[in-house]
Amino acid sequence: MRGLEKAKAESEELRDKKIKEKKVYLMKIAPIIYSWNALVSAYGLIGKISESENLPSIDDIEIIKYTLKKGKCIVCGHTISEETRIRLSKNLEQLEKAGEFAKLKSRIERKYLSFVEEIKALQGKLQSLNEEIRVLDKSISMYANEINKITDILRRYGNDEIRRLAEILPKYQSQRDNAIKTIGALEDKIKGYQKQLNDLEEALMEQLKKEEELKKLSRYIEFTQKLLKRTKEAKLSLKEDIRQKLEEKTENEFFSLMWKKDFFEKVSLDEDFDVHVYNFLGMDVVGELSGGERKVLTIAFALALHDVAGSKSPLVIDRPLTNISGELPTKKVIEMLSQIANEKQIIVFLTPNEANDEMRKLLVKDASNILTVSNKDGTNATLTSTQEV
Amino acid sequence: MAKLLLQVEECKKEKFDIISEKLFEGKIKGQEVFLLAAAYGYKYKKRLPLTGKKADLSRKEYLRDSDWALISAIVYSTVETKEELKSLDSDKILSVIEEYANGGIDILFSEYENTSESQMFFEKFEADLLKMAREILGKMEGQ
Repeated sequence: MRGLEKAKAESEELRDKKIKEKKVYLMKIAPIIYSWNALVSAYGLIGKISESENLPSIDDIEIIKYTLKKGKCIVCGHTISEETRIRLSKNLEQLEKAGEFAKLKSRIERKYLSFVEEIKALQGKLQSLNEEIRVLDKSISMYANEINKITDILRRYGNDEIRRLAEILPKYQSQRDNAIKTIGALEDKIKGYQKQLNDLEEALMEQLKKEEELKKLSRYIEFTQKLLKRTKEAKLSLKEDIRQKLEEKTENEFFSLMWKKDFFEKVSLDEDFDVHVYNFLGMDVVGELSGGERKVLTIAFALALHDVAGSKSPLVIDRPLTNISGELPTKKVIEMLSQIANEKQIIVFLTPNEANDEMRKLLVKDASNILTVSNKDGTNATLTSTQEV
Repeated sequence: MAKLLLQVEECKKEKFDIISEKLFEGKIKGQEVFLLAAAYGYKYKKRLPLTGKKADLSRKEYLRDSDWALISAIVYSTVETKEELKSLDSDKILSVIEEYANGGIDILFSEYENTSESQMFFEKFEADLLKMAREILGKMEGQ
């Protein structure tokens, strides 16, 4: 029933369109038909005037203008002579004098034949339009009959339930259409939300990944900090250990070498490894040590250092007697060196003044080898073994 | 100064508007109704000089070549000598055609008013045009 009503409405719309088309057509052809006698009369009259007054048409004017402008014949293409040019210019002048009459004449001449054709086509065009309208009217009538038949059938059955259902059917169809639209809109929204969700998940995963990396980095930092702390502790412990060993060794060496054993009580190393020597009164007297005492302390520290470092190399002592005055201290230093030599190899450098006869007597007693470096000619140095055990 | 506008009597302007809007359902423009009215005026030989206040209906440029051919032909048919014909310019032609449109609109509007439905107007309009077209074609064949 709805399909029939729709088809009927479409046919009615099309028919109305055709009727309007016919009205416009009639309106446009009417002035030609109503003015036909005037057209025929005017067409004849302007023909006579053209013949008697030899008026060329507007087309002639255009041809003359073109020929004068180009200087060539529009038909054969030959260049026009001066004589022709003058003649054409005069003709053009005459034509232009004819002014608007020539234009209007031309319009009538040009349109007359097309008007004839339009009048000839009128009957056929109207028949065609009327036929189209008639067919559409027939269709409309047929649809109307079908609709009436269905209405009659429904009325004949008189079934209230059928009528009620027929009445509510369009409502549900409309609701269904709306629901389809709503579903479409919701599906679009779901797609939008799904995309947002995917984007968020992706962002979340990225964030989690970053957090994981941060955690890992944090663990590395924590581990490194602990390692650094342990290393520092180990370093401090090792340093302290070394300091203690060095202090003990220095003190032992110092007292084993020192001849004034009662005056000095203690040798210590502070945390910066600065050496301090305390007397029996507990005073730090490192700044007041004599040259020999200072030398003893230096050698004691060097020995301790050599020992703690675990070095097996010989101990080289350059000019151990420098700043030592007096026979006893010098003798004590030599004895000390001799004593050290029992435990490790030592090499001692002395100047000629230091290595005097008296010193040599002492050295001969304890040294395994004495080598003399001389440079008498000022150029080449010679090495002479004085004593070899 | 040359005429630029097609003018009608102000009191009749509404008739042109009604014909355009109601009879032709807005499908035709002012200058087309003007031309139809002028053709009506020529057909029924009713040429009325414009009196009183004038109203502008359309611009002259909206007239097509075919419109000019028709109105020129109508105006040529009113002159008696060659000199008079050759002296007509577009301003004179428009002034004469305005008089025909002034007379024709009364007849056209009266026909519209006298039919209870536009359908009836068009049935008569169509029949009239067909009859005239057949007569024209008959004359042509006779020539």
